[in-house]
Amino acid sequence: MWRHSIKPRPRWRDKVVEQGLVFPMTDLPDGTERPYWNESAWYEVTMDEVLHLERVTEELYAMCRHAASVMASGDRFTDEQLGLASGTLPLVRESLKRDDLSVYARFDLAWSGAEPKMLEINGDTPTGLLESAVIQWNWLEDVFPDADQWNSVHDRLVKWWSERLAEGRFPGNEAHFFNSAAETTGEEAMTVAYLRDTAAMAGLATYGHELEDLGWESAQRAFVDWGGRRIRTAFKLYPWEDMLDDEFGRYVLAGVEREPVQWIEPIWKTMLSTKAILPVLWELYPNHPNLLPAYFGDPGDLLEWVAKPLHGREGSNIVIHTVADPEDHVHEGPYDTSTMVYQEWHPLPSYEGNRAVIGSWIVDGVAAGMMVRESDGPITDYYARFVPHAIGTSPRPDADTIQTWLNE
Amino acid sequence: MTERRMRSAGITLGLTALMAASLTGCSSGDQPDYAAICVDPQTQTRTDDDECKDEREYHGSGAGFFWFYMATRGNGYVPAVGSRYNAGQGTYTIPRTGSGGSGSPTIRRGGLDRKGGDIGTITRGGFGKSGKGSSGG
Repeated sequence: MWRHSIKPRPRWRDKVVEQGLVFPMTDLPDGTERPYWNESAWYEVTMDEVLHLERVTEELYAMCRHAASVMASGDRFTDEQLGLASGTLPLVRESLKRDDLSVYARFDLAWSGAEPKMLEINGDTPTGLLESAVIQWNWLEDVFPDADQWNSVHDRLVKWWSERLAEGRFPGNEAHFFNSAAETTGEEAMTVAYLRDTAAMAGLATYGHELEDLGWESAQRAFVDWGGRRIRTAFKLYPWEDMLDDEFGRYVLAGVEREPVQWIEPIWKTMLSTKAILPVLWELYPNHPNLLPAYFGDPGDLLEWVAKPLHGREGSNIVIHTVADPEDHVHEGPYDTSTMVYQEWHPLPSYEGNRAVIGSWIVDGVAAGMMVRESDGPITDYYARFVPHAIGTSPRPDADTIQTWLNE
Repeated sequence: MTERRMRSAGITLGLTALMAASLTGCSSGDQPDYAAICVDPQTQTRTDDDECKDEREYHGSGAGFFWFYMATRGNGYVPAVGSRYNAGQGTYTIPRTGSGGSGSPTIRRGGLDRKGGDIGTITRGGFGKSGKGSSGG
């Protein structure tokens, strides 16, 4: 992978906002702002590199699904150890057994050109989706119309809804979409609106509003929307561990719904959004070339490590311990740090001072594309910048070839 | 032979673009403005919700089952399934303008107590309180 500087498109900021990106800029603590969508550079990858990343991504996802069933087995962890509401794990087991519908997930990979290393998986509430699926694709159309990009995210999302709809998996052929009012940057609303668009494109009737307006109808024993319409399938971008701590989470845990809402992502994804999966993967697949050693609760034999809270996001509450630095690097944040997972320290590659992390998408179990975010510091955090990519070595395939790939 | 899977064409996203343009969510009161029961207008009796499969409107003639919309403000009393309803207390037409005059009203079709009584109450706000306002990751 190479990083190239490039002149941003004229009016780029207006363009990406028109295409749906609500925050083209990131506000900095000193009151200034800098681009979140950074098209003053682009990353070039080769086709061979893409093929390798695809294979690794799909293998890691299969490993994660296996790890989820091990984690939920009841022998390995208690709800309390995982920081989950009491009664969560039995529901996770049922969810896995039913093979509840699940659409997507995103891996964060550290990749220096050889074997990518899995830093984590965001299996429940991954974001960066619209930027990956739409904004960087439109950038490619404008800037390198003859080049290709590793990106079938959008097509695969629409395809997923279409196929499940055709199978009759959405009662009433409809779905609700909820975003939390507590998330004020617009990121959650934007991502949920985009998912809703992909469902509408596939032919579902869609409804949506803020999660806080969702209702419980005691006589029907059902969750209802703000118009009183019963909720049957619902996409939310709100973490399960929070949902189950909420007042209405009790109804889910107690199983009192007459016909339970089909939530997307499903409850088993709690296993893929806790850092506890990292040590479990290392136990199940020791010395796997794409995993880093990781331990639950203590650093074990690791000399240099990153400690991550079980339910942390955006790099918050992370601690980095290296040999060279006498003082640990601590990242402040709001998350519970009583239980930490320790992962071997694996610095991100630096491209002229920009530390790049690969976000690799899984849609319907298939590798679907990538996003690159870069940071100034060692942790990919809230201030990370999204940089588009292109495949430098291959021309864009024709329509028939694309359709063949999608149908594989 | 290459195996990579590429996306095909440009896309236009209605809601996503709208979201970016407005940057504001919608909001609503706690109760729907209207609740609908399923009725047989020829006998003027309430029937099972399942009979009303779509949102067809009754225009004063024809057989079948239709939604009957009742405003939930004021005395929202509904008859039991099988009992007669008062055609003067609601409308067969889907309400189009909000009671406050702004936007579309919220409508709830079906799900009211089969035994009749007051239009049921709905608890809200049970999700989203304990969250840390930080999804994603």
